Amino acid sequence: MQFHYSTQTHLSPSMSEVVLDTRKVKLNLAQGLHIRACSKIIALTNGFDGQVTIRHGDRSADATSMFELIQLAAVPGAELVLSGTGDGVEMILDALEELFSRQTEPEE
Amino acid sequence: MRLTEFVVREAILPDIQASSKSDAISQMVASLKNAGKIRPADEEAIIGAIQKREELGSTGIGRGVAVPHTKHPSAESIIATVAICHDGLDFESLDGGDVFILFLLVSPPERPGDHLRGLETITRHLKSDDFCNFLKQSTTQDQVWELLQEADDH
Repeated sequence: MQFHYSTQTHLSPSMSEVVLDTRKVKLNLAQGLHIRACSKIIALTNGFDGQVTIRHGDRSADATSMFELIQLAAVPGAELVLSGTGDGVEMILDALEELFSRQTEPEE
Repeated sequence: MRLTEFVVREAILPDIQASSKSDAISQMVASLKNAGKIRPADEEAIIGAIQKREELGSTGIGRGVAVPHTKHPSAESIIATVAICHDGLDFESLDGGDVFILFLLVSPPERPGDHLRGLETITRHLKSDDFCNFLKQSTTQDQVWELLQEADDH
């Protein structure tokens, strides 16, 4: 993907459970990050023990907060920076990256 | 974007009495029609589109707030109305709670940025407990409008 880069850091030994992952992705969803897409993000991060943050420009949102996600106001073509910590974070970010790479709207 | 740029003052319903989510949507769209902001011929189509959107997932986004919406060519620019439901309304919200504040938006097709900025503006202000609480206590169009103006000025 054009804007993709990834860094993973395994901190050890005292914080061996912490995994950091950061990626820059392009938002392809035709309607941007609207409520239904935000719902999908929340569904993907629901139950994840770590933390996932999505940044758009100077705005940052906790990926579990509908209000914060809506306030990103990310339009189609926007560059987003995904970052997260926690065991399994790369799988969560994989799923988010796949969601944002679609052009069609996610079905509930 | 400012709330008072796209909320239609004459269409505000400060004390909506709705028997259901569907009823609330119909009353809010009718209010936009009565204010002259959508064509009477488009009323049913807009109601249907908003309800169809709700079937894909509720726009009850938590904190007692719902933002039902659709895109329709009847709107030349983004327009919205506000309704306050003092008794609370089951909107099948994401957090399971009743809805007390509704912002209904109709925006032009092919302009997703306007819609997203409208939603951003609404949620930015509704994050404030004070703004939510004062809105919920409002009983007249003027009171709601003054709160929107105050929010815009801060």
